[in-house]
Amino acid sequence: MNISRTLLALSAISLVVAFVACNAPDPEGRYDEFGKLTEDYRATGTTNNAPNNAVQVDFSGRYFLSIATSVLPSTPLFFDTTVTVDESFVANFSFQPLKTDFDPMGAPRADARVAVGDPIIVNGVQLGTDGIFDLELTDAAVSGEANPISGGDIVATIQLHGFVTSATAFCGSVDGQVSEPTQIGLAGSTFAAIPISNDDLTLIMPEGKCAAGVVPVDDAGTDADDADMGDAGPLAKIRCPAGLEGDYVLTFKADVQSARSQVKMTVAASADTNLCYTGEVASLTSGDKIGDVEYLREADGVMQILVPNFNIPPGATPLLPDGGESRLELTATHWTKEGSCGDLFFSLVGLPITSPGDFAAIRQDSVLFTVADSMTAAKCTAIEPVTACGLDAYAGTYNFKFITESTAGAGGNPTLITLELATHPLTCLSGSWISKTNGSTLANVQYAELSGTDQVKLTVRNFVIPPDPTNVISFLREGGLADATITSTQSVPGTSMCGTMSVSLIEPLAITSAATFGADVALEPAVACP
Amino acid sequence: MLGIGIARALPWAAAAAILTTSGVVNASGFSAARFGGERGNPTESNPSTLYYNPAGIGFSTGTNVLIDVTTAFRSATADRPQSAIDNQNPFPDDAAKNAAALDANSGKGTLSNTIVAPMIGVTTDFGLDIPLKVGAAFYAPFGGQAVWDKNDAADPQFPGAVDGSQRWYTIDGTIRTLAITGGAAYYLEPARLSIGLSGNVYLNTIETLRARNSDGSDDLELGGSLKEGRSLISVSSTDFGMGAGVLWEAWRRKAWVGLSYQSRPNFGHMELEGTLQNYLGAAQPNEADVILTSSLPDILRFGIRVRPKFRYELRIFGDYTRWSALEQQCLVDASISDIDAACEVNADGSFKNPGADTGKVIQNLSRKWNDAFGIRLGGSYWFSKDLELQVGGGYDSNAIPDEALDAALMDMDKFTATLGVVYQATEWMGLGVVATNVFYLERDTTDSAGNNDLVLPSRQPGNQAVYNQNIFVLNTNVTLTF
Repeated sequence: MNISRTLLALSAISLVVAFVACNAPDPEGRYDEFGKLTEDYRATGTTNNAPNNAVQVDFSGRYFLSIATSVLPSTPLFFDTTVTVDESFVANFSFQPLKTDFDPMGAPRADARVAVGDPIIVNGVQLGTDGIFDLELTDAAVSGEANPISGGDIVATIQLHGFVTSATAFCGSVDGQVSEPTQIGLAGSTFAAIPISNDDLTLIMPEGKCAAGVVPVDDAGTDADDADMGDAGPLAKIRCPAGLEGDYVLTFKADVQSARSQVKMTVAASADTNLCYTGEVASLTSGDKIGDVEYLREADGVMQILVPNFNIPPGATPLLPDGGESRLELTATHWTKEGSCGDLFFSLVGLPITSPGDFAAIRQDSVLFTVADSMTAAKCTAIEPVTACGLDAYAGTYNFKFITESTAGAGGNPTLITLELATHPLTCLSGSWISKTNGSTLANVQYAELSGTDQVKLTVRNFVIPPDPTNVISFLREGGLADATITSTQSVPGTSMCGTMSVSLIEPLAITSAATFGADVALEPAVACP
Repeated sequence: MLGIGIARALPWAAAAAILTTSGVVNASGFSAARFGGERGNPTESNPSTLYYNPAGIGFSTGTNVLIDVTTAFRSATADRPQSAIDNQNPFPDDAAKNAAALDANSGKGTLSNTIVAPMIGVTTDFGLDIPLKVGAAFYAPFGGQAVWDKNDAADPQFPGAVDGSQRWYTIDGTIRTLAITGGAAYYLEPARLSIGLSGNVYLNTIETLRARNSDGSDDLELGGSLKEGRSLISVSSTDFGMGAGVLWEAWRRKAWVGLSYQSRPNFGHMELEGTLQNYLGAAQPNEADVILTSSLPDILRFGIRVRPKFRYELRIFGDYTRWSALEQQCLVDASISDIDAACEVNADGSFKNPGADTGKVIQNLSRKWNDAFGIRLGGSYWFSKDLELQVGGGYDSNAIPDEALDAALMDMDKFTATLGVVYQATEWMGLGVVATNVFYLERDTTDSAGNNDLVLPSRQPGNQAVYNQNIFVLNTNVTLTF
């Protein structure tokens, strides 16, 4: 009987232990955990997918079209795309899939971007008067060699919601569904098409989404006079960058123009903080005034210049034998105190004629840059540095720590700064300032310049200070906004640097604070030079 | 009365057990049949033989109920070397991040789980003195479950790394086959021979989570975008199989010889249907209806039990399990038209029939397992007619070749050591506790070819690793006889 009890007790204990300790699998729970953990990485539709500078224009031509899927936006699908547009703005498209740059094993393809499979034809697409079109590639078969995501054959229905932003560019958002090998949604994907001017497609730098340069909506919310229109959008954040007054050489070309125009632009600081700078444009040769600069300002991080009354002299264009007046809206995403370049939106006052275009402006007395008076140079490529900026060796990703006077003793803020060789002539080096905590971009490094003979100075604008209830500076616990200049005093280019900073808080208070920093590509740096 | 009560309770117990049962992988492949302990063999007559040898119940008398709970304490590690990683230099311009990425994709994944698997069986002659005996049982012959430990020290810049280096094959989940068996045996008195036949309903479930990229790589990110994803597969099927066997009392009351055969579930390959949920790269999650093909082995069992003296008994039994049936598992979209043709692959993992509906093939999991066998030697000593001591030892071979071994389905050569005690508490109730440790031999596939050497649709991240495992099994059982 004792044995019986002992066995029963053993059995009971082992069963209780087993059931208590039993590890119940919960794969769905851990799947959801991963989803939450990575939701900041997940595409929810990128910005700049809906540019508001779309126009109804004949955009016939051959394009290199890239679809950046939400699955893996950094490796787009490529299509050699031909567009023909008739006089009613009805467009026919031919999308020829192209081989990827790398094979599924990651090796570069010798025949990258060569056509593979049959072209996908979509005809009869109406381009709206707002410059927007919609089309669907129904059950499009794409060979595995053209699929950079899995390397396998896919069948997908791809819906393009497109914006024609000039006679040679269109872009937009992508929706739809991959149906083979299995269902994968494409929501959140984007595309962009750039003109093909060289048959060697491997030379093309793909663009997977609409470029920045969307004109910010300058709207103060509902207007008492137009209350029935509702709220047209968020209020653009207007800022007045310092030090932009002076004379500039402005070159521009609307698509409807046969040649580039070049004028002088003069601006001075304005007391109106919504305008920032005002001035005029004038003939470079005669000095005669051609129009007013109503404002030059920064709106949502984009430079805006408005010339509402640009005077077109008689005979300048066959369209206007008696001359006329036009409106120039210039938007620049790249700008420094030396100049700016970007997109132009041209419209004739009183006539339903509009056209996209481009512009570049450089200080008339700049010793660093010139504007090429070339018929072929366009947009930012019209700007040419007089000499190389000499900061190439500073490119790299740095662990970056800084400490301001106000936060002394707090231990520094661990972040990352990436400095890339700029593809842009104005900025020399540009890059991002990234939070190590969550990977979010805190600010963009707007441009770099030489400091002294061998050091670097970085200009950072619109540094977003995230809300942090534990911030030692109480008025920043709700977050804030700042500009910063970072100047190295000691450096091993590409490896480490340290020096001083000037942090100009803009919101919630206007305070400037000195700081020190350290940066190192491999190690967590100190917050100051040794 | 007691028998009627138990009979009424059994369906409820079975239903509860279905909800909680998992297999305990401790024989070859992912065979999990150790219920019955030392008495779970093809020479016995208890209800567990409905699976091991349905002829066994022909030697039973009256009504017998066996409730056996297998409790397994499993620990395992999979130590993935950096050499198994696809891209050895994912961030060539950032040495620190490069090193961090390699760390996030290598190292030791660990698991320490407790798993419970009940078995319930009943046999009866209906109280009639007839040579026909029938029975039914519920148990888990295949499968297991795994909850791999989180790596809380993982670098947060690679969010997937928290699930351990083995995550490209398994993170959490269950691969389980439950069986409901009905069987009958006819005892031929003159020949002292019983012939048995059983029919099995198999309830197959696979619900597992793993890290996955659609290109079969183990890349963590690409071009600044998250690349590492997750796939959660939840599929199930109901399949049928049969068993048959003979048990011969070669020496009256002293020696028995048994031989049995269990067919493959569904007599070939099975198709499990369900859903596949994905987080792929930076895309929003998606879900698709899918089919997963799989196969389970047929099994030949044999055994000899000799009890020359009343106090002593010797047993030798074993199995030959034809795991070569599991050549591949093929995951396809549910709308596929000809699954067999589409899933057929060449030796390099590529499609063999490109003209078939291969576009619907999501992933081929190359298995190419081998047949395996197990042999066990055991003995009993009765201190009294009611108290039995059991000892045993055994060996089970490995079914999985080096190139196919992964953390989701581990197998090694293994040895077992068993010690148990059974006490017949009353005329109608016996209690048993049997402890077995399964000693798995380490497997090092670091230098082996692997799934990363295959091409799509078979390509997967490198499965090369050093694998270790140990399972301690406790069988607790109650035998009721009426």
